[in-house]
Amino acid sequence: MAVAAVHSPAMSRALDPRVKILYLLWVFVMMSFLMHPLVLLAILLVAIATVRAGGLSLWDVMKAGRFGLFVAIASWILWIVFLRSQGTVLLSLGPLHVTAPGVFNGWSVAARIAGILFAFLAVFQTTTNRAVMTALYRLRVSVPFAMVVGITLRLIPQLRAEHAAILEAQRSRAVEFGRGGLLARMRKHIAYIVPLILRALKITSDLSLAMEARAFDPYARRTFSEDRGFAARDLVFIALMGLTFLAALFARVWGFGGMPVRWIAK
Amino acid sequence: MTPLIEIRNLSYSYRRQKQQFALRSINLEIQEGEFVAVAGRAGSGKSTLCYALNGLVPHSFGGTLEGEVFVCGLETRRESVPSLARHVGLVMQNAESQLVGLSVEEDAAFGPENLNLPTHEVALRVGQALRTVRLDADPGRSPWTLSGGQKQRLSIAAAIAMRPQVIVLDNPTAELDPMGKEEVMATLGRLNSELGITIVIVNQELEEILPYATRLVLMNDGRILCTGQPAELIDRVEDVRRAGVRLPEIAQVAGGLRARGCWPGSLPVTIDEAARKLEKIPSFPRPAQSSTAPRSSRETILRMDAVSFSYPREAPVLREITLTVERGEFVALMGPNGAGKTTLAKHMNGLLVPTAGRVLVRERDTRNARVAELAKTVGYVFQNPDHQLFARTIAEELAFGPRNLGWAKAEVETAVKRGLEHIGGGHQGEEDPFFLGLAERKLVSIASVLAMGPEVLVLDEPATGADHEAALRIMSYLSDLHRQGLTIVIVTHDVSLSAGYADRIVVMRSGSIILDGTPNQVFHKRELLRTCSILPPPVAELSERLCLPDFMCRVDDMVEHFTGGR
Repeated sequence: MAVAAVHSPAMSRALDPRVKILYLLWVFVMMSFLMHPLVLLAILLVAIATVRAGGLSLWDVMKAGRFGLFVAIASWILWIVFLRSQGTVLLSLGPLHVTAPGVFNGWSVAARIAGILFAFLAVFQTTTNRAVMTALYRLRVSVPFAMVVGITLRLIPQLRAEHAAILEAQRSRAVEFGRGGLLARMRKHIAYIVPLILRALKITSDLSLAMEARAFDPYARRTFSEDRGFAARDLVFIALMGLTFLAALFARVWGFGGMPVRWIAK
Repeated sequence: MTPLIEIRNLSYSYRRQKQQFALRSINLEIQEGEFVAVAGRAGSGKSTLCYALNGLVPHSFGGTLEGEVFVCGLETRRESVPSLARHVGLVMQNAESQLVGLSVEEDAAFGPENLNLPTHEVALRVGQALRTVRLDADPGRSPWTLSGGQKQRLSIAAAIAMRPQVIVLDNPTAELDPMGKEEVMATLGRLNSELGITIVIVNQELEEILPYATRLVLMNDGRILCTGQPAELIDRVEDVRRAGVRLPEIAQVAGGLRARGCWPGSLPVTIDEAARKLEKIPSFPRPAQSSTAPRSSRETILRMDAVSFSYPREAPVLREITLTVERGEFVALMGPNGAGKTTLAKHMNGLLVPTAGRVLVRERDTRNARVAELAKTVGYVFQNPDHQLFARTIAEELAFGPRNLGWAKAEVETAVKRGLEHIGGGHQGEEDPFFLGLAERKLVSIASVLAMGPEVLVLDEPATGADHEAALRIMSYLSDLHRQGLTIVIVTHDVSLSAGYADRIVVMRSGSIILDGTPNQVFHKRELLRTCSILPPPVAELSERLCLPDFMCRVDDMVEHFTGGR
């Protein structure tokens, strides 16, 4: 999964990064305790809409998050396979019965994974490293933690480039990572895992020296240049998220928003 | 006058290396406004000295420090690194490893933000710093997309945004192309002469620093060997040699003549100075001799027919390249960053396949061959040996390629034995490659590719980042292999290295081949080379200045020209 901030004029300039991080939290919380397949579909659609609102190409985002989407689809299929003998049979494909519990429980898991993934990519692909750090700091997260998040994001493109160079260097020495038995393949991967770890350590160590040489002290007060106050649209967003959260909370307390029993019962 | 930097009896050993001193009894004073260059071989203590000036030694590295270091009146042992950073800016060798931000502006602002300055002051300083280093890139642009020289100028901007009185640079031009080196050195020259910032720079290339440095410090084995004005120290050839530093080419020519009693007085530092004296020395012109067999009589081993290449949704990197490499050639691929040299080299062993046209390796189309199959014919050595080396011993490293090719145990053992002989240095094969110096790691990486018995060896920047002695060792190893009949293709920015070792130079620009010929033919095209950001070696310039009947670009050729082989 690739995370690299692009300077999008749409979402990145419209919303305060704190609101974007709160939005991420909102998607996570809403998808965690709401289980109704249609509600989950609605939240997933909201997450997809934020991708488009951020000026991002849905195809590019799907490509960047292809591993996560693969996991989501695989989970759905596994649920269908595991729950093939429970509940109402919706469809029979030879010996395999597709049941309502399998489809709807699988969908719940897949929608959650995909929704959180889309929200995560929409936020991090439209927010600079610096803005994320500033937002975390302003949300009372400690400076060291905010810096660790920022530096991790900054290291991703560099480590990807290192990974590609190491793979090519080993392929030049006649390594064929995709050939041979499982054990042989695992052994071949040592040829790039070891140099990659050593390079990661060197890069991290050099970066920490460079940061220190530029007066970085995790426990000292520092300026965050991207710091800005909430605008009216930020407050509207926060209010919307707060209201929907409260509505969802009351709905769950009163017994709504869960998986409909009649959908999955025999 | 109180010196800006004062080092008294400084000795230092790194943590867990108490018996091994990286610095020994250093005494040095640097006045405000000086431009001091520090040179010496790898391991002579240059970088440690840099880190001692901004407090990273001993605060971050630990270890044992004796003596005192004062910078701007502050004793570095008593001050923290962040508080010293207000006075001393540090720029390191690798431009990418010090990029903190994901945009140009963010990177330059990191220091002032750490100083807790108001946001308007941060913005003001960032703007001024970027203008000072003449970096006019979009502030929102990712620094990863900048050229090497621009990235290093951004690091300098990030340092000066903190308004230090001293900037310490640890080999900042070692990994840059000639254009990048020139950009960085010119920037430092301006900071020193216009803003009065004191510069302390580690640099191996005396040719680069001579126009700017007011003082040269030569180091050897953790000690200061000698210090003085650059022109004065260059004349002390023995000291320069002891420090493991390469003399400027002009001084090498004069040194060669002086050794044969043909050069009067001190060694020159400028081409004008050398030309004035050489005009008075009689010459012995000889007919030019080709050191290699005529190209047409050789077997073609690599052929590229109208090769074009582009990454998906990107502009073409290679444009209809037609090139042949014949058995026994030593070819240097040159050109500015982004010219397509490495991309072209990666086509030679099938790591990349053309999007149009074809590459034939001994008549086999690379589109129909696996990289592992082509590795038997074309070996590829990457620039950074750390991308390649992973095994616990040198012997395992050497055996890795042959094993991948499915060789029998006895054949693998023979290849390992031969590789160990190639590396030399009395290695038994049990040493861990990780703990070797850069030159030896490079030699191990070359030997590990050679162990597969290729007929062509392609090397990306074989000597970049290595000091003079290490570069000589690597290049003489390659030269020996070439004499034994191996075909060699190197990607390099180093004009002296190309002139000294290659018998053919191919110059690229914007994905096309601009020049292809012998070093003398190529380096004679001064104006065309300039459009490719290449400056001919100083000897070539001297040859032109003297209007010699035979154009020459190698030091040895010019010495021979004036001595008649005496």
